[in-house]
Amino acid sequence: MNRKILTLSALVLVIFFSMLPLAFSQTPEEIYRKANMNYENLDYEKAIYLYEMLIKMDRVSPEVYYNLGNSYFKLKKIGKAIVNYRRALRSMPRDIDAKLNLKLARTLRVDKIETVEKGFILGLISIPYEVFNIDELTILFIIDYLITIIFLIGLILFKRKTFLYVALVFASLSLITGIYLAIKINNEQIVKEAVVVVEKVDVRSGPRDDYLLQFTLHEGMELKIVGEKQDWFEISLSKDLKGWLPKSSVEVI
Amino acid sequence: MRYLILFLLSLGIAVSSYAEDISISAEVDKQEITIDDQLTLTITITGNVSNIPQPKMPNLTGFTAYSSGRSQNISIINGQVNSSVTFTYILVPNDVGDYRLGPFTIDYKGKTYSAGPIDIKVLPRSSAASKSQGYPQVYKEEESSEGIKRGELFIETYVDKLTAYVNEQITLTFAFYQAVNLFENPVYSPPSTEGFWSEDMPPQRKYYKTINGRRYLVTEIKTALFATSPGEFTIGPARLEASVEDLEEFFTRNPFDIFDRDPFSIFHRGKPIVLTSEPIQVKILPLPEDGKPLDFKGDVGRFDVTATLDKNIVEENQPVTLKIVVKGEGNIKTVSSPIVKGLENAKVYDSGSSENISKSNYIVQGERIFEKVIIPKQPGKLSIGPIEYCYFDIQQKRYIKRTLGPFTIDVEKAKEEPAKQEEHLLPIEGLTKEEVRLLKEDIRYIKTGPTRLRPKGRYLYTNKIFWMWNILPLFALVIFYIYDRHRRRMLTDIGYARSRRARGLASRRLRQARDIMRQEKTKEFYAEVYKAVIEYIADKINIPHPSITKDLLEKELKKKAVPDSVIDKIKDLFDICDLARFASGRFSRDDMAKTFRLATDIISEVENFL
Repeated sequence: MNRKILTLSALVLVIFFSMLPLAFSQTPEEIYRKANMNYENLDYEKAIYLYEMLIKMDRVSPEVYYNLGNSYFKLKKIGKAIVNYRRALRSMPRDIDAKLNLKLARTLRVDKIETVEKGFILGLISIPYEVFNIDELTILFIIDYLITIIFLIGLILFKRKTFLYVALVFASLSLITGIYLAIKINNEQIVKEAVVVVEKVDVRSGPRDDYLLQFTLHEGMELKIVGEKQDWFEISLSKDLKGWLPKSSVEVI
Repeated sequence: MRYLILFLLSLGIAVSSYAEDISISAEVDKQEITIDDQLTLTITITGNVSNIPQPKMPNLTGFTAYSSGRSQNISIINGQVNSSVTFTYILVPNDVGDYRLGPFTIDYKGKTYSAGPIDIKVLPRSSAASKSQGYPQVYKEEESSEGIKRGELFIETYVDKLTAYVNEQITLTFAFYQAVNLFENPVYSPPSTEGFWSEDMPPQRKYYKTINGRRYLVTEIKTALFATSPGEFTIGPARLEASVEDLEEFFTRNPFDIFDRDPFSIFHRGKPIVLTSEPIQVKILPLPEDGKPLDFKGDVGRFDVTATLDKNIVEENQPVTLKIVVKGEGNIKTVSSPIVKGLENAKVYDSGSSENISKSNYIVQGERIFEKVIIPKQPGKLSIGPIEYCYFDIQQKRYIKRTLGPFTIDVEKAKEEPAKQEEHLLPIEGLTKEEVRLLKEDIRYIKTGPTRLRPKGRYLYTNKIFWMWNILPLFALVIFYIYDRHRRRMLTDIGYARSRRARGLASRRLRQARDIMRQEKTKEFYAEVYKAVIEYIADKINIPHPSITKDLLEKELKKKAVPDSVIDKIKDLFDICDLARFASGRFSRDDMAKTFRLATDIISEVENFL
């Protein structure tokens, strides 16, 4: 009897200790560190596997996306690299490294897109949109709103005209940030964007292989998804460039 | 004697011709023709008379004749008028055999002049003869013989080969034969060419052709087809909608009475005709697997490859452009890029391709130019190549691999400062300066610092608790506002202030009344209850206390839509109070408690209405 308990407890201990390092290596932080190590040792495929594992575990950060983008870039998978840089930039829009790498990846794609330079005023207006992420815009909006409320309460209590003016300024600021926030949520969360991740994909006029071929897109092309049917996405590049392509040929940002 | 006769004869002719000076001659361009050929008959009449008559046309057995024009030549020398008229006819044989044309005669002032006859030999069709016409006729031969009963308008489609390899050129010809004028431009629907990559081959060719004695104007449209996959394919049918004159009229018409026709016949309604051609079955063979190179990408035809570098010496990190030209016959648009090997020590960027296509002799040919930008990473010698290109030669029926290079360039060490270097960037076609600069750069390194790993899609704006906390200040603001408004009203609006304070005062008085009740001071108690209720109501409806009477109160309450039941209660209370003031001894402590409850009821009920 005594012996039985002993062997059982020994077995439990053995299992526990053998599981320990496994369980330990399974923490997301550890996987992240390991993935980075693989990247440093030029083993990009292993790094990709580990970063993708983090995404599957739903433990992500902009750094994970950025590093994953780099790993794909090193393996010349421009489409996947662009998707992940875009994801990273959504969380850290001021990151110069991610911006530069995205630019580089875009240069290497086959399809050339004419980018229209923004005018001075439009450029100025879009600065807050490009500089802040959704959470930061939310906080800015809330701060402006709270200051407006504080000054309105002050106006009630102290009856000073200046309080009204300050409150009005902050009310309009919160309105503007609210508009930026709404546009950003719409563009990033409601409208789905995707990137072509296969070397070449035929865009057809309908959601089946026997529909007429409209045009061909190459890896790294960024597009908007406007509809879907079974295994097909309806996409649009501009007002007059629309068509259907298989879901497997793109990855949603 | 014979000489004499001859002499006299010739003299006679000479005299007569001098007198009238008119002659006729007839000529043909050839005396031996094939059945599908035609000949030109020229009849010339010369004379010193101004109005030359029309020659009488003999019976041209075995031929159909078309007038092809009349030309006149007048010369005046020393007052002598000399004119010659040439009538030209196109003769088309109807059948094989020997024929005699003529004689051709002309009547002038009672005299008859004649020329000819001419012997013509019509030979059967020979393949050599048809080839000399210089257009593909592989399947046309049969079609033409079938076409005996064809009308003056028909179309046909044919291909130059019925069996071809994938991506080999098949020339599809659409031909429209017309022997009659059309009322308007015909509408052409090209045959369907599913499974093929098609390439139009302008220009349209127009020529005359004779089939079974009828002369047709033929319009040819050619299209080059390249099959995209092996298998059996059907081309066509093609369709043509045209509108012609009534055919009955055409059949009965004499070719020579063109001018006798009703000049307004052109206004007759045209008869619409829809023509369709037979579909064509084509067999597409797969390319042989034998000896297929690994890097073969499906190019079929005959190609030649050349490659050039824009410079041989380059500075480190400066771009060199490699231009590869694939030139030849085949589907130029689908020609694949040759493979450049040995570029481990450089960055390569495909800067695009362009093509020049020509379709002379109805063969798709031309060149496709591929440009690659190469940026050497380190100084020394850089070898580019070998450049390999594979295609399937359609004539030799085998795969051919062309190899170029390798080319060697000298890469010098960068002399200039990196910042300055950018200024000297050479422009490359299809790339901006910025892009060229980017090409030389490597990506920024990964981020190895600490990171916060969180589930994705967590945004502040989706957090309900966050929003709830942020709504609280708004409530605070509303409360502040309402309080402030109340305070200000209390200060400025007496009625409002009285009304708001009424309940508090009334309950204070009622508390006093209760104390008095405990002391069993009946009279004082009723006086206090009366005061509490009447002052409460007076405050509520903002009437000064001293001017209150019971009647006024009732009137005012009715005005404010207080129900009669409540008013009756008030009246009861007042009656009791009045009675108690004069006969206080009749009221016990229980009665007082009842009155007290009645008073509190009244106050809380009135509160609901005022």
